[in-house]
Amino acid sequence: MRFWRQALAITRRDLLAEGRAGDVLWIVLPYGALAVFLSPIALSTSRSVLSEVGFGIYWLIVLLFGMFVTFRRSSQATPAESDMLALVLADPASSFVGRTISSTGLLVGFQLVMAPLVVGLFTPPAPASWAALAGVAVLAALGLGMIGTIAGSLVAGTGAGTALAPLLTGALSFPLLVGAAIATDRLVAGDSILAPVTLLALVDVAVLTAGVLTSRPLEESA
Amino acid sequence: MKLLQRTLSLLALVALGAGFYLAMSTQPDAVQGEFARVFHVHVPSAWLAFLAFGVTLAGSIGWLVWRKPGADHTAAASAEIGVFFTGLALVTGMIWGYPVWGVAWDWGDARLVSTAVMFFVYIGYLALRRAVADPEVRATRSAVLGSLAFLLVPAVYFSVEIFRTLHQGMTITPQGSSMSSEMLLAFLINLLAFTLVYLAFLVSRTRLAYAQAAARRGPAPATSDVEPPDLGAIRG
Repeated sequence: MRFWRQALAITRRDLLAEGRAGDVLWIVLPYGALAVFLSPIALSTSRSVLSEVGFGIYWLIVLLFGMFVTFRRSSQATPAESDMLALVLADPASSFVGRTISSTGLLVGFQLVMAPLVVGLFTPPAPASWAALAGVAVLAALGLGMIGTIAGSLVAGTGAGTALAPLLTGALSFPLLVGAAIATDRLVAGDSILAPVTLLALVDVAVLTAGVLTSRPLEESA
Repeated sequence: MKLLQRTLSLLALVALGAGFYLAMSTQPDAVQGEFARVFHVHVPSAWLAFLAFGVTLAGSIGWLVWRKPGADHTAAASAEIGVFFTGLALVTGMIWGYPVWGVAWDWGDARLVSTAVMFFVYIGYLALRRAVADPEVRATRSAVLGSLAFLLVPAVYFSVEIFRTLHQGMTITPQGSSMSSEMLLAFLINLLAFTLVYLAFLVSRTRLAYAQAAARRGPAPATSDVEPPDLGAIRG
C-alpha cells in the first residue's frame, strides 16, 4: 500500500511539474506534428503511397518523437528531490513506477493528438477494430514509458544525455515497434493480433522487471 | 597475465592460419559456390558476439552484486569485442547475401534487422561508458544497461526459428549438423580460432582497463609506516 502511495505521489508531482513547464504541450507535440507534415515531402505526395505508409509513419513518430515525452525536464528529479526521497526512505522502485505512470499517461495523450493528424493527412486503411488498436497503443506507450524512464536515469547528469538517451531508447524499443507495426497490419487485414500483442506484453513485463530490479543501483548512482 | 596474453595471441594466430587454410581448401558449395566460404568468418563472428555479450552480462551482474572493479573491466572489454564481432558478422553477412540472395540487406529478415539493433544497443553501451566520468557511477549505470541489453541476445538467436524469413535456420543443433564433415571440421577450427582471438583481446583489453584505472588514481600516497628521513642527521 505504501509502495503505491509513494508511486502515485511521484506521478502527481511529475504531472504537476509538467503542467507548469508545458514541455510536452509546447515542444514535443509541435515537434511530432511537424514531422508528420514533413514526412510526405520526403516520401511521396501520391495518395496511395501515403495511405500505405500512414500507420508506419505514425508508429515511427510515436517512437522517435514520443520518447522526448519521457526525457522532459519535469521527469528528472533535482538533486534536492532525490535527497529528500532518500531521506524519507522512499522505495526506488516506487519512484520508477510513478515516473513510468506519468510518462505513459503523457505518451497516450501524445498518441491521441498524433492519431487524428496521421489519419486525416495520410488516410490509411481503417483497422477492423479501433478499440484493439487503442489497446496496442497503450501497451506500446507503457513499454516506451518504462524504457525512456530507465534511459533517462542512465544518462542523468552526463553531458551527452540529450543524444545518448534517444540512442538507447530507440534501439531498446525495437521490439515495441515490431509488435505495434505487425498488430496494426493484422488489424487492417482483419487477422488475429494475438502474437504481436503477446510480444508487446512480454516486452512490457521484461522491462518492468528490469526497471524494478535496477531502480536501487540507478538511484545510488544518481 | 602478460604471459597469458602472449600465449593466447600466438595460439590465435596459429589457429587463424589453420582455419583460413581449411576454409579455402574445402570443396566449393554446390549451390553457393565460392561464396559459401564467407560462412567460416560470418558464423564464428556471430557466435563470438553472443558469447561476448554473455560475458558482459556476467560482468555486469558481478559488479552489481560484489562491486569488484575487475567485473566492470571485464564487462566493458567484452562489450567492445562483442561490438567488433557483431559488426564483422553484419558486414560478412552483407558480402555473402549480395551474390547469394541478390540483395545485401533484406528488411523482412528478422535475424538481420535484430542483429543490427543489438549492434546499436551495444554501441549505446560503449557511448554511455564514455559519457560518465566517475568510475563507480559509470560501472553501475553500464552494468544496468549491460544486463538490460542482453535481453536482445536470445531474441536475435531464436529469431530465425520464430520468424521464418530469408535467413537460414540453425545449421548446428543438439541433434547434429547439416554440413559435410569436411566443412564442419573447417568451421570448428575457425570457431576455435575466433574464440582464441576473443580471449586474447579480452585479456589484453582488461589489462589495459586496469592500467587506465591505476593511471587515473595516480601514484599511491605515502603510508604512515614509511619512516620520514632524519633531516638533522643529513645536515650533520
